Amino acid sequence: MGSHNPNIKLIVDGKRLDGRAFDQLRNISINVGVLENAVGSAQVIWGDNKVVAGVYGPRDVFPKYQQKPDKAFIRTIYSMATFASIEEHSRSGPNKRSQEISFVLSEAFENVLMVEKFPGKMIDLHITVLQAAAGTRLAAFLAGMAALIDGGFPLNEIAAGVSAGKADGALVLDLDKAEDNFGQSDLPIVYNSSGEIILLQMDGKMTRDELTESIELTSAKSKDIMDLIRKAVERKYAGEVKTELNFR
Amino acid sequence: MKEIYIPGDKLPTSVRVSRLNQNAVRKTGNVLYATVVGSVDEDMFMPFEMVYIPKEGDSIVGIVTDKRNIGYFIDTGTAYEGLILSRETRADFHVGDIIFAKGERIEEPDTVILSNPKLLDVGRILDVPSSKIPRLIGKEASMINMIKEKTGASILVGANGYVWISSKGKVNKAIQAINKIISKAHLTGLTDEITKFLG
Repeated sequence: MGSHNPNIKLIVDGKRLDGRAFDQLRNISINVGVLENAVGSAQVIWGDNKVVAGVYGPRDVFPKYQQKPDKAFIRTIYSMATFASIEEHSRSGPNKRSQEISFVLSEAFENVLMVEKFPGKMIDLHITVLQAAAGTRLAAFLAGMAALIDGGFPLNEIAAGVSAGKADGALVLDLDKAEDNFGQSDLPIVYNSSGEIILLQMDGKMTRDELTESIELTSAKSKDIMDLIRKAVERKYAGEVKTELNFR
Repeated sequence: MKEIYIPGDKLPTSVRVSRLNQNAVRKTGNVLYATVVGSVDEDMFMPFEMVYIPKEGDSIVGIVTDKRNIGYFIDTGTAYEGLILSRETRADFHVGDIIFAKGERIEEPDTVILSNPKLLDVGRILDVPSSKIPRLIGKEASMINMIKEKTGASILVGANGYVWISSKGKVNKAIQAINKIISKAHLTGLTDEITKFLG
């Protein structure tokens, strides 16, 4: 989120700049099983965001000091492609922002994955943002979630998230680029399927009532996104699934 | 089209789960929840895709990779290494030998102690996703027995996903049949199709 600028109108004639209603999400499409080499993979197109995720493992932990004796170590690597968003996050590769997002995503995935099934092992989750247009951490989470499901990693539940925010004083869902940069607040929340919050970050200001309302609205919308994951999985298994058999 | 369950979905009360698939569900109270994507086939929950987690009693096909004083180290094609203790076997294996053994216990974090190792003949090892193994074996081993019978090949299936096929019999036909089972494991009418294919 950039600085709030009162001169920029984000709500015109009761509608948002891209014509959406206040609680309307951008178009989301999910495809699972897009990468051949990964154990599980997914591609998410969320508005103008394009994200690909691949999951590998379980395997031996390296470096060894990160090994946990009682559960799996999830190494999430969120990265932006060099061409993802030149003017916004001027360079790709590991930087403070991507390390922070990798960390919070790992923590969130640890809440849904049955990490206790893989003691002393590591699960590698690589998420690359090919094109960025606000809300990449939630698109990245969705891609990672779908990849874990596709790879057959045992999960307690599935999870999905939506961001809420304030633009021009109105409470809106799923912020786009302009609302993210010039709005007053940005609040990404991820829920698991029983409705518990497993990730919450906040930028900017919001009143207590607005926060409560945001949670109500996003919680309902996260269910819709979980249905999209279900549909993506059903689409994959509608016909024959090509599997490459190798000789050892 | 069968109904597909995704992780976190409640399974109907009549559903049971086989020993090989026990990690595909979790139990809360008396209710079973799916932990991976799968469907219900004749009251059995069948996962479509599942990461291999070793269990006691698993039949394992593996390759000897190292021989030391403590025993033989076995490549199982998974994140877990097999170990045959030398004090528990009199057999003499060499690096590269293909063996078939039972998983006796899991030693944390990543070693499976194997018992009753048998040396397998010359043959090939197919690397199959371990989630498809229950389907490949079939109900009371009906599917695998049919392939063996119709093609004359000897086949040994490891729960870890390695499938050993002997060098005699119609090996190619058997491999094609296995390939068909793997790519259509989640569809209905598989048994009929394989019966037709094997002729």
